[in-house]
Amino acid sequence: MSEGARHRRMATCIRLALLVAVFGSCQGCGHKDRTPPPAKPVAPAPGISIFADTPAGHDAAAAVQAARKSGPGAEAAYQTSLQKLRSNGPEAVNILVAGYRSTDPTDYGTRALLVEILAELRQPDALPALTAIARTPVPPPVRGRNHLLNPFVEESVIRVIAIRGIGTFAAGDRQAQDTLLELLGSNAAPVGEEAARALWTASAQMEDRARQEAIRARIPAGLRVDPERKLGPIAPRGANRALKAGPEKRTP
Amino acid sequence: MKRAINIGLHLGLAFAIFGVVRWVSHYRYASNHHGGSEDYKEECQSEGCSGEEVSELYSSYQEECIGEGCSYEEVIELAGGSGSVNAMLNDFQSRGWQVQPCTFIPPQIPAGLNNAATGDNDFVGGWCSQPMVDTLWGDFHMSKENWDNGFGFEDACNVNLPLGRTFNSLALLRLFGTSMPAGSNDWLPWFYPFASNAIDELYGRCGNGQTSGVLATTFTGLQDNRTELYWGFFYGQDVPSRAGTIVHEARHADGGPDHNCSSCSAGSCDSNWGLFGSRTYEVLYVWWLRFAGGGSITSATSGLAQARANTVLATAFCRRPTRGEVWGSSVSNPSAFLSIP
Repeated sequence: MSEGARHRRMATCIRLALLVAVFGSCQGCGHKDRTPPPAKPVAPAPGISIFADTPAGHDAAAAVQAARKSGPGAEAAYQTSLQKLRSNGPEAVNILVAGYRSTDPTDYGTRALLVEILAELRQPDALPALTAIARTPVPPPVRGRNHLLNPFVEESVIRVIAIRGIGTFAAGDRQAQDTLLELLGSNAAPVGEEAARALWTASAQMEDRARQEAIRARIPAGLRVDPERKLGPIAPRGANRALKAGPEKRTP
Repeated sequence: MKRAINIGLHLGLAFAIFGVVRWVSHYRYASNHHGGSEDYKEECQSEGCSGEEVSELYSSYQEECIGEGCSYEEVIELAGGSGSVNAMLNDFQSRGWQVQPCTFIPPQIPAGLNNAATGDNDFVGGWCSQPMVDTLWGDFHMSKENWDNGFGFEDACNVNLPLGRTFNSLALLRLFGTSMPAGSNDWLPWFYPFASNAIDELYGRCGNGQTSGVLATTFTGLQDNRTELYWGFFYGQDVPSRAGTIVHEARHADGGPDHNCSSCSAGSCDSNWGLFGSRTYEVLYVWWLRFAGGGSITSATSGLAQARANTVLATAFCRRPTRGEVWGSSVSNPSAFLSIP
């Protein structure tokens, strides 16, 4: 066999091998059923009821539903539902706290939302409950490479919301200030950081200058920052802003 | 020259072997062929088996599915076909042995779902129509075999099932648009096309079967490129958090860097903000969501987004991101920690 013929034969072998490799990597690309599923509307399941069957309970359930709305008018409808819930006075707090306590502890999304609504009530009656939630220790971190639903993170989110709620009272409430000062020393970084942010913001409105200075001196240097909403989110670096959605963009 | 040809030939052969092995392994799963190993159908349903034989089958199940990412294909193979899966699992349970509820066909979904509070009841109204289901399905290149057996293919608008809950998160991503309007500096509408272009294919899977378990994994490289979503994603997260997970995984699928350090407390750590890895993208999406204008999301959703973003900033980076890293050194107090206002 001539040198040229041998080379051609080798090249053919290599091409064939590469074809098989590509075929193998593709893992059955050709025989997947891409037919979309039928869209048959179903009545939404009411979900479990976590509130008592009372007027305040109904208002709390309505606020939970409104909180998750999106699209035009969502915020206005939510504020209306909050106002109605507030009109129940201290019972509004009691009903939310009872709902929080009865929710499955691993239902982090529901628990976080209930604390968010409790904080947004801005009722002084909510302060003891927010304090108790913020003070509850978070479980130890779960480390690893997998992208886990990490109870340490999820519980921290709940504490952060409660601390923000406490912060709304802190400018004029010594008890709220003391709670936040205590939480500054938390082992959980999100808890300590949020306590610092809440204290820094509240201290700006304190009339007692000596107290203001004493509090600010205890806040770590890296957290002495005024919230600036004008500093908005940034673009992902190097992102292609012309991207458009659609299946045709994909390599088959 | 000869040496080059030799190397080329060996390389080609190696590729060929790799390719054949991968094809055969896929074929094995696709056809439920069990290659001579013992299975429940053959051992127990056809012949009647001893306790010892069931125990051996359970050992294999336990190895694959308890505490590990459990693959349907492996369970079906062990049972000897999809029709024997439930009989096998019921047999295990009757002997007092633990099984993963999500490995039944259909999977047993968690009781006591609060779909109003997770946002699942609200979003479904926006996409439960054939054109929108077709769009979401096509944009994420989904296929029937990865969403049937009770994962929702037969009942796509049922938000108790994994597919409906996945569609909810995709619909939230899509709520703000499918491309950035010309001249706009609002990046929120960019995340849907980013995710749909980056993710090769979405699979619904059991994972380790725990609602507080693994959320998702993205596979890239010389294999079937895909993003697998697990029980923790479907039943452990609310709708906005699920959308954040899709963005996180999309960054992996996009060729973003792997998690490259281990000293953070959240797990799946990125060394720093400037890596622009999955954690940075996750925070960016939630941050843009918080800033969504026009009253289109509630202050509750915005507040939850802020709490999550600040928690991820404090727990998922080995070096805590600073203001200077994000806005540049001319910002006030550049060495202070970045937090989402």
